[in-house]
Amino acid sequence: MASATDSRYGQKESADQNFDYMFKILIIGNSSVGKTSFLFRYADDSFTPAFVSTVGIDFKVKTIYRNDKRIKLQIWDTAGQERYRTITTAYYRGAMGFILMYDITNEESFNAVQDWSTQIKTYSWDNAQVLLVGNKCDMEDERVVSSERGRQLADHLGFEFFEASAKDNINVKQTFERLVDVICEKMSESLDTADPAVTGVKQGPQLTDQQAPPHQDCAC
Amino acid sequence: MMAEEFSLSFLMELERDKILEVLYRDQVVQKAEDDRIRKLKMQLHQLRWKGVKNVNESQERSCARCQQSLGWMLNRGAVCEGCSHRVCSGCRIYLNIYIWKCTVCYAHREVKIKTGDWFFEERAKKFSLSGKYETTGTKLLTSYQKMSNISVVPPTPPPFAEAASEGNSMDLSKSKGFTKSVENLFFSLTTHMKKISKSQDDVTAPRFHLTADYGQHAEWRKERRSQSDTAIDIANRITNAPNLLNLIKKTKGTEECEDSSSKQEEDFNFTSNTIFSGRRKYGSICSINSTCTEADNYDKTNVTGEIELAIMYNFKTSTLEICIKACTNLAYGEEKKKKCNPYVKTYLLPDKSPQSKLKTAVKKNTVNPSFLETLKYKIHCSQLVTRMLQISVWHSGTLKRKVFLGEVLIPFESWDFGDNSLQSFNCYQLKTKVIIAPQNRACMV
Repeated sequence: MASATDSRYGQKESADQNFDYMFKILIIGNSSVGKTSFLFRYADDSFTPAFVSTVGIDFKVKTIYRNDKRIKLQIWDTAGQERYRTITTAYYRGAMGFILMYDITNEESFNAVQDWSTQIKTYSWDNAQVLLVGNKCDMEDERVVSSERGRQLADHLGFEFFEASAKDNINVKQTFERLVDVICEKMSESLDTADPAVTGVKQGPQLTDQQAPPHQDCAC
Repeated sequence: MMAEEFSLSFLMELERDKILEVLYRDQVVQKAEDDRIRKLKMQLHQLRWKGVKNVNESQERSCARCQQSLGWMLNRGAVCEGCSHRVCSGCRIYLNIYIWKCTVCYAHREVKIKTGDWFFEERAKKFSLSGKYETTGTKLLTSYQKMSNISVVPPTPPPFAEAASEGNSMDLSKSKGFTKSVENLFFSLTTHMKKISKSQDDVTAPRFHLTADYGQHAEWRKERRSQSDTAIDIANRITNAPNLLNLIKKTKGTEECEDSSSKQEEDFNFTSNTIFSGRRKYGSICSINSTCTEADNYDKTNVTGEIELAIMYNFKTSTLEICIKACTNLAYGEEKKKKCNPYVKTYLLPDKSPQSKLKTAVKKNTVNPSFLETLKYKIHCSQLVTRMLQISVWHSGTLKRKVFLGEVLIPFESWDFGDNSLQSFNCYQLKTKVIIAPQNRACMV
């Protein structure tokens, strides 16, 4: 299976060009459902129980090795709070995939999923790939949203579904890897249905026009 | 629909700083990505060129990719569905048992994947975008810049510890005017890019045609020229002695001019080249088209000596600074008279427009001139990677004649401006003129 490369976040990784392609992923959902924790667990393999509200937006970079390709992920963590909405939605159109997250111990966050889904439809491209994630599945005692309801909603919206825990590191890596896979599928789909005439034909004659014998540079 | 204008104005100062820090980090990622995309596209471009050259050369049936000739019975080749070119069996890549693409179309597909163009194309179906690689971060930064121009209180520097502590090229946090400078950077990024790309288009593209077709399409050429004001400016600006002479001669009659041309060249020590002679044959247009007079003097002298200079990038003012210290052991501009009045000239290639040209003062009668001059280019650092600094040394002779004494080319592609050892003075061996092959040039433009 896929093995993640060393992914300690740093400037070096940000500027690294040793990868095959880059995907941009956005994590969205109500405030305090655990978006930041989820990202920290995946990118840094760390967890802090303290809640620190994200200001606007943040991101982390992680390069993974999947399907014989090095894929650089720029994962955007968004603030759940309403007041940052103009900034966060601005990032929707740059994202190829989304992780829509709710908290299984918080009914309200689950009820908001439909709204978040509408946001994606409005602000993102038409083939945006979305995974629905019910976070905090370690807190079984406080669960208010059953797995079944989560799955049903995901089916209804046409998303894939995971329950996960950033705290206990359950399904975190799997979620991201699945999202990468579905983006890859979408990619091949879009390439194979693309108009085959985009290559060569138009460029050919133009380039021929430009072909000229070597001439001295102007050095005035 | 989506609001086009983003704004950070509703945020409190601390929040703004936090977000700005994220935006700057994003810029680093984006820059690396842009670099990578540019390289990939360049490679594809070069691959395309191989095929095009072949089509041009011969009429016989041959593979559009590897140029191997194709038979009528055996190895007939087949037409690629992607590009409609006929290719041999060796130049096909099978996606599955039935579907294949020629090497170029395959590479095109790969590049689409690797650059993320597939996504941008898909996305364009929903949002018509002006700049497809433009990110939200860039827009936010621009809007922030506009906003902070209006507000009286200057923004506080964001905590930029992450990038700075890594000692990378963005070592900015030490400077006080950090925020301001970065704002300027991004402002100049957009304005500069527009300016530079415009001037490049105007100048290089028409000249390419002016010198290449040997006046066979004079009609078309005139039309073309009138479209580009810049090209005319350049042509008019040049009033070197040889041209004036040509003009005088021409009034006497083109016949005479052509007859005496070889003698004249000897008299004035001109080196004839294709462009020059081509121009003469088609006398009626030659005087205006003479954008390349100095090219005549390139290989006249032998090239010796070294140039000592330092290159640094000032992130605060987004300026590339080239400090020309001195030259040693230069060749004489006029060997017989042992005369040499050297000066140094720089271009930030591929831009060869006057905006890109900088010169030092002329030093009289020396082959070891000391200049101690700093030439400055205002350019955003992310733009520099596509550029190459051309530093040439010239002798300024009588009648404004210039003699080429050598040059140094410094590409910035892998230049690390954070590296202090590169910023100190270094000696560079002067080289003879490198003529860039047309296909490489096309890639650079």
